[in-house]
Amino acid sequence: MTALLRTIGLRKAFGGLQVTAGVDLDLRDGEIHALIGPNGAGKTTLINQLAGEIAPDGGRIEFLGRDITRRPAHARARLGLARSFQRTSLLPAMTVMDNALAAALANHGRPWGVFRAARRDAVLRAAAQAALELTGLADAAARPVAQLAHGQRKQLDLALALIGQPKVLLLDEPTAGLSPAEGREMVALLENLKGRWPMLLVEHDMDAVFALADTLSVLVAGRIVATGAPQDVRADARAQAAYFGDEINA
Amino acid sequence: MRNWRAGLEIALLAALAAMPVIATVTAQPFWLDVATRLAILALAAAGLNIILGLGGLVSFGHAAFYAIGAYAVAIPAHHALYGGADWLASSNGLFHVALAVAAGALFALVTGALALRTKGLHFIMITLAFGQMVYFLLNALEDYGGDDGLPVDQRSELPLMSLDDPLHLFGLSFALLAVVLAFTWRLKNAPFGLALTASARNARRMRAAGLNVFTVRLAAYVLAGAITALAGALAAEHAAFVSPAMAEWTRAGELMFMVILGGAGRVLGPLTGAAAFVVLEELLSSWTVYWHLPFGLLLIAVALMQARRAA
Ligand SMILES: Nc1ncnc2c1ncn2[C@@H]1O[C@H](COP(=O)(O)OP(=O)(O)O)[C@@H](O)[C@H]1O
Ligand SMILES: [Mg+2]
Repeated sequence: MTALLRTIGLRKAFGGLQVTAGVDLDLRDGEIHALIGPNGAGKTTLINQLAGEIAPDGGRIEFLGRDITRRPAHARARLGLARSFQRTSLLPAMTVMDNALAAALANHGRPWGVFRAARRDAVLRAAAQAALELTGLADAAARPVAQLAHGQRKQLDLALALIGQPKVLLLDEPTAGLSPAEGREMVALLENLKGRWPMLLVEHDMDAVFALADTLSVLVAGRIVATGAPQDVRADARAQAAYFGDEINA
Repeated sequence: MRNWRAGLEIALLAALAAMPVIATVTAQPFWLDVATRLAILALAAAGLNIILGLGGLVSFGHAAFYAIGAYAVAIPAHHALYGGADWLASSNGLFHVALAVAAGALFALVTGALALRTKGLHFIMITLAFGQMVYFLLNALEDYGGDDGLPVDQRSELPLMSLDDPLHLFGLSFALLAVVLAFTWRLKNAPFGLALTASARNARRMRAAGLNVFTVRLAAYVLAGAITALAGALAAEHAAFVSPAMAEWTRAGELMFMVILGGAGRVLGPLTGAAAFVVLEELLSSWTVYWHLPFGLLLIAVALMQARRAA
């Protein structure tokens, strides 16, 4: 099967630090492709390049067979490439519902209305409501973001990514900073989304990775050192040395 | 807090609407004059409120639009009366207003397309620079009075009204203000308003949600420029005089002051802000002829506070 999302020889350096050192990565339809690696390996930087926030120094990004390397972030989102943020990126001082409505505007092709209230727009409302229900936030719709627990913020961050009916999800550590209970809830949520959305999933929690992933890649110092079925990668010596070593010894 | 503010805004709006009656009953035409000036300033600030209040962008060159709108009245009127530039000469008020709005929108489109590529302090500086550019350009227009300014010796002609009648001019100013404020009220909660305010809070997230933040902001900037140019056109009719001072950065600062004091993004904020400005100006100028100095310092403080909040 051909890849929905593909990087070819992607490179990025910050000053002298090579953070993406020739990354080739494929995300196929229907799969969850987990990306693991130690802190500072360049996972978030890779997501930021895929989403269009950071321009790579070299290499290519293809999405749905198109070269999107030079497209701006909003254009990629409109093509169906949605992302969540490691540190949640929400609209403060607004309610959960208004966050969802705002995220629905562009992807449902209606950011230009000047007369009818967005809250009364049936299309926007339906899109917002569906995403909040999917992420278990329907009951919190009227609450200001400031009142949400951290787990709920992570859920909302995910909900905002889902609202545009994307074709691919880029998720940057959806369980980061969550309590064990919140983390289990998030994993159950992602399991529920599996099959409906292909995902590139950056994740630290190995239990979550083995529960969810179809493919596993290990990024170390900007390089993919192993990629394949999770069980095979676990057995891969290089990956063990690079990453699992700590965990196995711990 | 919320309620007294809303109450004050409504009371002020009602008082402004009732001003013709008050001025007649008290036989003080001065009050009508103040009310007209207030309505025009509030309209100018209402334009800025869209980009600064809703959009969170500290545009420091907004007085340029005010001056552009004023000269769009004064120049065609000047030629209509004294000849020359036949293609531009006109005493038709509808033409003047259309020209003011179109010129304001066009200047906003061109300068906004450049300025909106920057952010934070850079955006403040570049909009200030564009404002100063207009100021110096107007000073250089020797045919139109240069730094002395240009009198409007004959006010624009409009169907069904005479702008020489203070009551008519007030009525027109107040009606346009009311329309723009009502429009802002709808806009604020409409998709475009939400896109604008959400981008002010978190542009990164809105881009990730597929929004072309740049074009939304540019549209708001054009709208803001057109509205303030409309106010400038009314100001030319009211004062029967235009001058480069209308484009000065201190005037831009005054508009910012009105928006921020009235509550950035509040629909009726420009009205209370303009009222506070007019009162403060009266008080300070009665204490000292150098009132611009403390006022300027106040403005700089307000601007810097706003810039820090936006950064
Ligand atoms: N904008 C930036 N400027 C300079 N260095 C950066 C920037 N962003 C990330 N880095 C550095 O790049 C490396 C990779 O960071 P990151 O992609 O966040 O790693 P990960 O998500 O895998 O933990 C780190 O050493 C980080 O300090
Ligand atoms: Mg990271």
